[in-house]
Amino acid sequence: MEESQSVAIEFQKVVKKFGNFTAIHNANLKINDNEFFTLLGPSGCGKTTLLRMVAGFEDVTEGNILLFGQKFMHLPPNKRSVNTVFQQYALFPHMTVYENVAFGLRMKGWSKGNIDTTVREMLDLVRLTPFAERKPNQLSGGQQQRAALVRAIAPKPKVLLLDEPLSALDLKLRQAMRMELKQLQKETGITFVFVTHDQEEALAMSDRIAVMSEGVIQQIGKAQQIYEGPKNEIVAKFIGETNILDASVVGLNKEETKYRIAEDFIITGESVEGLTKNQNVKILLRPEKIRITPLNVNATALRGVIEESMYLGTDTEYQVKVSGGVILKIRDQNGFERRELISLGSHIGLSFSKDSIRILSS
Amino acid sequence: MTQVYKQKRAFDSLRIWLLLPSWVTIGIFLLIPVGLMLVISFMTKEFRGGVIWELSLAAYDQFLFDRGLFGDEPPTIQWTYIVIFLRSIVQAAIATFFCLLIGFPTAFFIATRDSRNRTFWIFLVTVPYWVNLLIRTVSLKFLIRDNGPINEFMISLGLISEPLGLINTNLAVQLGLFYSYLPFMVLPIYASVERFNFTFSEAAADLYADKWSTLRRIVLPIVAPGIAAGCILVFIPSLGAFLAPDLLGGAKNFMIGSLIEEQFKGNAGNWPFGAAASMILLTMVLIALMLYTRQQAKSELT
Amino acid sequence: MTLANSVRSIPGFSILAVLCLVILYAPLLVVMVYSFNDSVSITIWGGFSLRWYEQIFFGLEAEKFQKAAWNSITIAFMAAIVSTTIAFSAAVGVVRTSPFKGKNLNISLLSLPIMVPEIVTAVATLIFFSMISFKLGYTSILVAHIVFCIPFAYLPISARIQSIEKVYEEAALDLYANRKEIFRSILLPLMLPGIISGFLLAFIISLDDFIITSFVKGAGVETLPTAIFGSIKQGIKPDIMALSTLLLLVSTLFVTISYFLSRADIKNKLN
Repeated sequence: MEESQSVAIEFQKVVKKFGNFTAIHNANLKINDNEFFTLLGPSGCGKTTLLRMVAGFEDVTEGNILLFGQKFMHLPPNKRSVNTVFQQYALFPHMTVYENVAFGLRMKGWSKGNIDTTVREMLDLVRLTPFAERKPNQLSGGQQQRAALVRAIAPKPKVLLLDEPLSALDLKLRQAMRMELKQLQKETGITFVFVTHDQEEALAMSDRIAVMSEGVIQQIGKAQQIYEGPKNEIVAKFIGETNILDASVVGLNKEETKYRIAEDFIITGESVEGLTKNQNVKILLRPEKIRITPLNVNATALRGVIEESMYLGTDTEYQVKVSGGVILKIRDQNGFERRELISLGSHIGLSFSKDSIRILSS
Repeated sequence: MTQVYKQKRAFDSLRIWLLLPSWVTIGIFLLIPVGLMLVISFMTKEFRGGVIWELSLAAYDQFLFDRGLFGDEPPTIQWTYIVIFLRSIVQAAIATFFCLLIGFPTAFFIATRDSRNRTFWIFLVTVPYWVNLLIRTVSLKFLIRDNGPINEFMISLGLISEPLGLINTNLAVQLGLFYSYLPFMVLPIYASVERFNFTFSEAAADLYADKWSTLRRIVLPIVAPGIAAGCILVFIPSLGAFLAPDLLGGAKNFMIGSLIEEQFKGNAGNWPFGAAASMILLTMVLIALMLYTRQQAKSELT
Repeated sequence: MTLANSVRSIPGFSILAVLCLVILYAPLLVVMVYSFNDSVSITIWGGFSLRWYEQIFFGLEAEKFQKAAWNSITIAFMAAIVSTTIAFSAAVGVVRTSPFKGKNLNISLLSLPIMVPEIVTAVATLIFFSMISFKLGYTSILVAHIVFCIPFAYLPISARIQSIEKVYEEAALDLYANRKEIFRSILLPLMLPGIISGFLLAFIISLDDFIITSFVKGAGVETLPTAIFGSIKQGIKPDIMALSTLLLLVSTLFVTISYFLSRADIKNKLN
């Protein structure tokens, strides 16, 4: 199925240098048509630079970018059929909402009638019709955001670029806008390339995500693939919380692999190809995959002592000291079986299923 | 490899054409004239104004030495012009000091009002700055002269029996300079106090500082660049001022401005000498500006 | 709502601030009041009268003042237009382009006419004009005014242009605008308040100038300041006070306009 989809944007060995500083190292990336694609990473990782190169605000040092298979790097920004939603919206302060949305269409030389129909359609789409004659500074943050969105959509770009468009909004509004953005993408069928540093935002909205760090694309995949199967430590650390344990392989067979973390701290996982005995690896174990059990249920289960606890509402986070002095983070949901918080110093048992651990060979 | 669109700002390719008019205007009508003035200061004077194109150090020599009426006596130090320059510096410094004394509290007071009152106060301070300097100086002269309103009023009240005799004194010149350039002191100080983040002073108060030590140890060091800017904006024009000393000071209280002006009026003038005096004034101003920018650069680093 | 022991309220500062205003306004107000004095002896109050205003418009010196006023206003107008245009073009070139070598040098060059003391500029310009045998008069005044008005027009314009973020340019470019359209639809409207204040400032500065004008005006051509200066050499007469009052009102009108312009601007501020 993936092969049959056409590719909207293709980065081919793209390198970007600012003087001596390399902002993008050899980026290769295909973004499919009609996809909600997210570039996720901490600030300064190069995600915005990638976006600005597509828009035409930065030139490419090496490599090439294709738009639906066509070369377009020679075109200036005003000749590229991609549009941008800017971080601080950049709505023209001296124009009304209507004039802002009409601007791109006017510049493309559309007829007056066509412009009017499209602008009204667009304003309807995001419920801004009553505010058409207002200036941007007379709008709330959410309204400005929606105005900036339809201003960029109105010229019917082949790809819409969104540069952290939700970062200026407060939490509630941000969550509401996520739904709206996702819906808008489906309705218009335009490819969205969305840049954010907020992992929750990325996981919630995207068809696919590229995780970036220090100018390198670390991993590309669906939300679940990235969360459950991080390719490396950087991705694992950036997305969600995780326990990272140094271990060595002590036992191998067809069904399972045994790893030793400390003297009497040995855990068992599914068999993994390509491991050899005594090999050093890193084990990733998400805190919510570990379950707290009473001590006497299984004599062979892992056991530990509660060192710290933090009550977080939906969950409680515990730091548990297990054998070998290793500290594990555990998330325990305050869910259906509501129970008292476990007091500090309590001895508890711990369990997790074999398939919830992930191995990175170091 | 295919042509890549080179990222640049919309007006980059037009830059030279955009800057050219200002280069041409300022270059031809200010830089060249100042250069010419430097040349003239090394020429020989013609007796009815103008110059003879013969290289001569006479202008600078005349500034420093007295060689008698016919120029054949052994040189002695000529104090007249040196005194005029020193007087100008002292007068300008005193005016700057008093502008600071009134200007800082005023600027500080305005900057600590709420925003509506603030703009109104600043408006009130700005209006006189926009009023013709000649008219302001004439008004001041009218006010303080011997049979002017101040003296008449005080005599009628019996506070004094004789006019104060303010006019044509050094004090009157200082008053005139102070009055002319006071807004120049208030505005930059206001700008820097307005930017001052008052949580710093709250933090100081929280750490047991009373308001005087807060003002001295927290506010003053942070707004110092604004104060320096205000002082330079008052000092420089005061140094070369012409109207205040001419209208309020009379012949005894000559400053550089009047000295230079005299060299170009009518037939009694001496162009090379006037040019030389202008060059010396310009050099002093440039030194003051250099000290100022160096100081500003230093305070930006810390 | 300031607390009594906050550094925001320092005893005595309010009194000094009021004193500052009194000092700034007292001479001007006194002159205004005395311009309506009916008495010939200017210090004795002889009742309210408009006779001095009548005199400047219809009296013996009326023609001289009218001619001077005409010169002042036309020169100020033309000098302000030309210097604002030059300053505007330079401000776009300096502020609205990518950083370049010599940017600071350009800024220094543009502020040079403020840095050089007026009397020095006056001397240099006079020497220059007489060396190239340029006839002193109306045109020489105009040229000199254009030069020293440039920095005054430049300051508000460049401040304004600086406050317009680069992202507006990018947004327009992204929405298919070419350079001409970016300038016409985005930059020019956003810069307009700065251009107007630059123009007003240049106009007032030109109208105000005495020293440079008196050096380069030649014989027979007067502007209002030089005409007034000539008159008061024989003493301050009441008609001069009336004339001063009128000029004062013009200046106040200008500063009020620019005050309201900037207020409207704050209300409508860029976000």
